[in-house]
Amino acid sequence: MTKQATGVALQELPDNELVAEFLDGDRRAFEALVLRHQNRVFGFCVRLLGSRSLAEEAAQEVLVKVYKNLDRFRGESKFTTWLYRVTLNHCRNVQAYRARRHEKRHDSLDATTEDEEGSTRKRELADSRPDAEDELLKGEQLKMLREELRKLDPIWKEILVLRDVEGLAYEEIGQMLELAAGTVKSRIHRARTELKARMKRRLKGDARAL
Amino acid sequence: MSNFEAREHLSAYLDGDLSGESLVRMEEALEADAALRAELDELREVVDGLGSLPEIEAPAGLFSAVMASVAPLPIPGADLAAESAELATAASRVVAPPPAPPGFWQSILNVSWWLKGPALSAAAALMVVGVVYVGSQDPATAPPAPVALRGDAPVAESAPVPSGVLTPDALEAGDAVADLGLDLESSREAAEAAVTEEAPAPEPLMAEAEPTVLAGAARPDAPPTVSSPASRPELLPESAVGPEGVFEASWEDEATVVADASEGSGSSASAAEDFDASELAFAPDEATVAQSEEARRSRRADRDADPADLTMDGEPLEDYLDPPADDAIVADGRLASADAPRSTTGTSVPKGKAGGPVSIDEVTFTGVATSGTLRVAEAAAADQLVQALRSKGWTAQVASEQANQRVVDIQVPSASFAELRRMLAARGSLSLGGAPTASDGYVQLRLTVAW
Repeated sequence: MTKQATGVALQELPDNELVAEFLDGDRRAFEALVLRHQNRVFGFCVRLLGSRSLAEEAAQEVLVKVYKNLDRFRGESKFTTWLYRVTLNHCRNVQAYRARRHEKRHDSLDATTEDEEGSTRKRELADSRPDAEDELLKGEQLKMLREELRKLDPIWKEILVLRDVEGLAYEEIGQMLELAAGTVKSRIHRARTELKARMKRRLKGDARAL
Repeated sequence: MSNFEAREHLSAYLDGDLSGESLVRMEEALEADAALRAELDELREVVDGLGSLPEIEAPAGLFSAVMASVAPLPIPGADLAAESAELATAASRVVAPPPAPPGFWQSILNVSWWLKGPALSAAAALMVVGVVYVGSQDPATAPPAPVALRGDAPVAESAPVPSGVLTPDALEAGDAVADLGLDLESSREAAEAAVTEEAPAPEPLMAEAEPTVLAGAARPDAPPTVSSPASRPELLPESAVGPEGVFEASWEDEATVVADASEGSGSSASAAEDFDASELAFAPDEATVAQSEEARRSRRADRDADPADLTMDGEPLEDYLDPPADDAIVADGRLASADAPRSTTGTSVPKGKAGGPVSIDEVTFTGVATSGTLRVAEAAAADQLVQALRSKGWTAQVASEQANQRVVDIQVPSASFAELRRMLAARGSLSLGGAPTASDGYVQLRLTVAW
């Protein structure tokens, strides 16, 4: 008997039970899973791919893949770990495909770029530096951080997003990336150091431009 | 702990992952070295900054698009034996069909408009097999492949209803070719061969890929003449559509291992306990990339092409894209053949004062309008839908509101009904209650938008 038949709302079920309900034939359980995790999948895609339009397509493809392969999930790990892994693999493929097709965006100074928020804008140089008010400065720094994160080598970007944006534990990251615990720690540190260095260069560059 | 070693553990310290002697030595090092403290502060800023990046919300249409994509797919791991039994049962309910009336093909093409996903798959298979069937007959005496559909797709009363009918159950079983006494698998293979004969299709990515066996489906926004919206992913994978418009691959990609860019993390040697996600990885080879590029160009060309220039089976594709002509629709919701006399009981839909489309205030819904239900993710989607309809110049008005649904009255020119239907199907799970009721060139739809 399904949980629905016993009056338990699908939305209240944990992920693993929703998977079981779905595999028992209740498609609504998959709907509940998508509603619960679509932001997670889409956001992860945006962070890794750096474009909302690419991420939208990728997220849809990921969720369809999840639908078709849920019977491979055996519930021995967290569903979200499995979901992140599927998403990560798909985004890697998208990036590999784009790299192969030479579709990487050229980062020229006057290029119009699409940022993670989906807006298009002209790259702003020093004359757009915000006032010294803290909030504005913080907002500007966050924007810089997001941009520098996007430019990071995928090897650093992936692990930083998983750890510091998505908040996954070392163990989950190790399971997902198939890395030993020590390697996860050292790579996270290197990734943070790399991003920190980029931010410092960026801030110095902007200061010189003033 | 030397300062060099301490630097290597700054992140672990930030994450609270140091304990015991390591923690003590780190704190001693920090106390003794201002540069180390400054470095820690900088790292903390980075970590805090990343943690404060706002959550990115999925676009409103993502849920609907995913649901539309998976709607025709079976639940993974379903018992194939049970499906076979169901198929056999459905096939046993099908009897040999009698000759079809004149104008049957036009009717069936129009009727297919209203078929839902599973029925469409069966109808598409029937059309192909019908070609084989008719081709084997004496052209002078053989009628078109005669099949009438009962249930979702009523036919005109003036047309004799063939005794050979497919029940909805039979249609949902996926294939109706068994009614013609043909072996199911060989029929499918023959149909695939017929479609792919002219231009060899690229190698399918997945063995389970089930081609749609009618050309003309390459156009992404093609109407459900050959494939229902529900069975057509909103965003087609580049590899899914071949140059001949045949779906060559399912969404499941080739299980190709992608080498991890990192050291010691080859996916082929998965150590994950619960899954081997590398099986879900897709690394397109050169041939696939070329094929995808070709498909992309084809889709772009189709998208940009004038519908009048597109053909299917030698006939203008536009014929398949557009809704039935007014004179093929009678007011009681049935589709009439071209030869049938037009009903005079149609509902009069007033035109605007200037003779153009009327505003919603001028529309009187008579109660015989087509009804339907659209399931969307959230209430905002209902509002967006109304706005989108109005931006098209169509009339749309919220007739009533409840906590989890809104009833929206819509009126569009009958020539735009196909577009309306596609638009709705793209926004959620759509079901329509019957054939369109049109009069004076307009179709009315009372749509319940639920979430």
